[in-house]
Amino acid sequence: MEREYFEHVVEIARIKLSEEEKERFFKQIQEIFSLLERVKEIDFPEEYEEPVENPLRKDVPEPFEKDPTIVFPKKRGRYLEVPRNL
Amino acid sequence: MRELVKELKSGELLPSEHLEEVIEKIEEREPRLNAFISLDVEGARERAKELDKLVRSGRASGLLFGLVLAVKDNIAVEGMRLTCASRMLENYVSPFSATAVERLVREGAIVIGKTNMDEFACGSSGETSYFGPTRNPWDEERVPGGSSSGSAVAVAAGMSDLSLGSDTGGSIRNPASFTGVFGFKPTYNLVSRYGLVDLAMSLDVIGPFSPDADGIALSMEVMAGPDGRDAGVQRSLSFLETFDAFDPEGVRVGWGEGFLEGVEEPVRRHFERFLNVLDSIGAELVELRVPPMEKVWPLYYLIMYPEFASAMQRYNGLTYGLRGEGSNLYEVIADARGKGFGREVKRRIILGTYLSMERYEKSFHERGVKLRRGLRAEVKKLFEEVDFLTSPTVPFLPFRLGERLDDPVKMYAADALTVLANLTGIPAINVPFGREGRLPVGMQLMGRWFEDDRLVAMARFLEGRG
Amino acid sequence: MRIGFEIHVQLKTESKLFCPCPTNYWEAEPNSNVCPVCLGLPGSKPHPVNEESIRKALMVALSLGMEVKPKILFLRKHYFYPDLPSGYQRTSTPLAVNGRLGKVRIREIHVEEDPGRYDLKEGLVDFNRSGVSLIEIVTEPDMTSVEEAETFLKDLHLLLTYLGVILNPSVVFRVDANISLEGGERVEIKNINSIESVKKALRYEILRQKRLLESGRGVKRETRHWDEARGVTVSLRVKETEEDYRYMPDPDIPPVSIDPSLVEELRSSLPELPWERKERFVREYGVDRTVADALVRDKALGEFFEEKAGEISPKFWAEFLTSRLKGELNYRGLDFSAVPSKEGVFLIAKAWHDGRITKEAAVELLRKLLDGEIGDVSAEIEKFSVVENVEDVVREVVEAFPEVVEDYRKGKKAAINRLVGEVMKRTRGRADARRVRELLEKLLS
Repeated sequence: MEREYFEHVVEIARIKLSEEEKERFFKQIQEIFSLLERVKEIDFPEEYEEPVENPLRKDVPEPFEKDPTIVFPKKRGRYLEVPRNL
Repeated sequence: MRELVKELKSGELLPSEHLEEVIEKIEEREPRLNAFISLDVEGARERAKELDKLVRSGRASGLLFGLVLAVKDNIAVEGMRLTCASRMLENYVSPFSATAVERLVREGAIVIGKTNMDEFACGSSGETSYFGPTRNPWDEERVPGGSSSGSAVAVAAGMSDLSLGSDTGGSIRNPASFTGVFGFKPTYNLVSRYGLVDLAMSLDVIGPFSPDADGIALSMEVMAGPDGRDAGVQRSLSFLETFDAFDPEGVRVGWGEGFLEGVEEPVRRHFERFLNVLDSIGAELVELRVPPMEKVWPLYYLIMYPEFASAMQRYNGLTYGLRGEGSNLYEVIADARGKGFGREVKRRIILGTYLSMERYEKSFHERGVKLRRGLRAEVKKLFEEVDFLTSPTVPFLPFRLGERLDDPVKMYAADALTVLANLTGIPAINVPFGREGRLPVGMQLMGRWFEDDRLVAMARFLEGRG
Repeated sequence: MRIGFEIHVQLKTESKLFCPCPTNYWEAEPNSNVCPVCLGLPGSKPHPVNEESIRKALMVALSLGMEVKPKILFLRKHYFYPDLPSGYQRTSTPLAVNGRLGKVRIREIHVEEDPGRYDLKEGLVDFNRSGVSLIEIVTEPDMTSVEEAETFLKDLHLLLTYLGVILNPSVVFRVDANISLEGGERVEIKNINSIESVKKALRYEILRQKRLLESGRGVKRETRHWDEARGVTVSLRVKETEEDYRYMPDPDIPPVSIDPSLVEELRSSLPELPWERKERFVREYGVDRTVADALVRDKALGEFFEEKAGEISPKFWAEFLTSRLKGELNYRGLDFSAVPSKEGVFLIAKAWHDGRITKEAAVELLRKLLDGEIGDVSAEIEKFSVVENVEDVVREVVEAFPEVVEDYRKGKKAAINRLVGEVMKRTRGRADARRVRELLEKLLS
């Protein structure tokens, strides 16, 4: 596992980390990775999965009675306001 | 628990009186234990007054009438904060309630508050909450287990009658074991997950805590079954009927060395006692070749991490939650996530992101899915020979606060015996089974898919035998 | 040159793909057609998949001659953007594969959800559109010119109109185009919102690529964005293109089995498709191929044609609609939906057809009608009406001049002029001379 790739993954994950956090995580993640390698040692002779159905839903509109926009941290009128020109 | 409900309905004990007893307990112990993130004492009092009126007019009804309920803070209760013990959602108020909560409240339960937990359910000790750790009521220097720490403690310390938690790798059973109460993980897809904040979608379930098995059966009777919002829930079960009719005579219970590797001495000893008790109530014990959990438990993390990273994509600090700062979109989001999440959560997201990158997809994820199917087949075969499986719940006793906190691998070891039920979807329950000194010990029973009612009924016969 | 498309079409359903919120996002108050699911709130889960979305998607697949898959999985496509509240888009595996429209092969079609709308300049987000059902139609790069590309898109749009699957009539579809020239790599241009823009974008891109190739700098594989305002394609910054979407089957959505009997039901109940209607018009009404094509291209016009075709000569009527009416509409920059009185249009055509008014009168009346200057069409026609029964006068004249008729029949074609003249005399010059001649020729043959 290369350090450069680690940085790339942190970028994809969109989490701002301090240099110290990056160091610590990089090390711990390597440990955990080698732990996960253990799964390559096990094997099972058969496989099983319960079949699950997924019945479709009738196309009937149903407005949500409450106003969920109360969760928006910032609003302008009824719009969600986010920082401009990002 | 049904006895208590009867009293509350009959007028022997008014709901408001009972509530005051509980509130007293909260005032006494909560300052040290830190089991709650939000308390709604006034709201509960109003609700109790309404229930009193029903009693007086002879219209008291509902299976959970007057019971005080605590809800883990990753399960939505409309109008209350849903923080998931994280700074990211510190001030987030949910505009809807989880199906499970709606059903319990409809049957007369009174929600007293939202309980503390490991941040976004990432933990097995109750120490990673943004709002501070929860303490074990039996030894306040020790952990109560996690991630549903507050819910277990609330029930254990008399700060609620029942509580709700979530279980992804053992997060109900683990704290139940450490605090000496019943904690139940239902079969996956028996209880609607609508309103449960995701940790790992294919593993998560909502489940109850109770001081007795009766309370588990009662709450499950109400919560289980389809709701039209969670497509996976298609079956229902009759818990109370089975509970009252069950006879453990001749039931076959399996166990194996594969469940005992890595288990510490005191726990092993209690497990042997547990086997004896099972024998004494008429069960037939069968030693089996069970999957070696020491080897298998990493599979849980392989599945969980990528699902967790996906579940956490929605926390960008824009639509809701903690706002970040920056001069472009990338920075604003990365800042919010950097500030809003604790260490364990960040670590898991990065690991999960890693494992879902196209580069690793094939070597890890596909293998994980295949192994999971293999494990299911193994368990299916075991259940052809026995009706229940048993093991200790956690390989060790409650440890001291801070002892395992910065050693993730050591922390993860707590889940070694509980992940099997999550990976396969089978139901599992923690049966409180005596003490080691002051510390509670817990034993685990597992059952077949969708035979939750029989499992809970069986657990009753082991109640108080520790 | 090879051109291909990925076309996104919003499906006409009453509720969204994974929740029962209403879908009329373009006319609703901002953030009023939303719920915990389409806002991606903590604890929300997708409801079971909307049946109508699957039905409409299947209709499109079947009308393109595609092979339907027995089941589909929904995947999560992860990226961060303000209009994507869950941080991932739910998109399905192919619902159907291997189709064709004209010479263009259709690779696959799948179902996905639309994100919300993010106004970058203002910093405002409206989630009404979030969760609306989309199909994505992926073609092979079979088009070899901008003209072919335009034809394909127009034909596709027409097909979708006939199927009645488009949600918002003022949103044609959204297109991602890909184009490669001989010797260069494939370039993708994202987010083009009209057929006209596609033409412009392709032309711009072709020029740009030609210049690069001629100068020896080569064309590298990349994704570009079409800037409508400036009329150019712009390279997206590296960060935005280097996304790893980390596709993952959505654990909340079990695989959806496509019921074969549903497929059969839909196949046998597909509405008449544009090319089928065109053939039928030619066959049943004897209409010219080009005229039939024009009638079919404008669905409402074609339907109006058919509505009245029993009451008037179909060929005359078709011609009237496709050249006269269309001509006047085009001149005014209007389309058929702007016609104030369809019945009025028919009455004018009929009056001319029957010879009660002249061609010039018909044209003038039509213009006045379109310009909103006529209230009562019948009354106006009366005013212009020259003769009630031209046909009767023609018959009278034919009966009254048998020798002239005989001459004409014997081969003296010019004799007809005598008869035309007589009809004109009897109608005091108000009949339409050309029409009179036609009627005579018909009667005398």
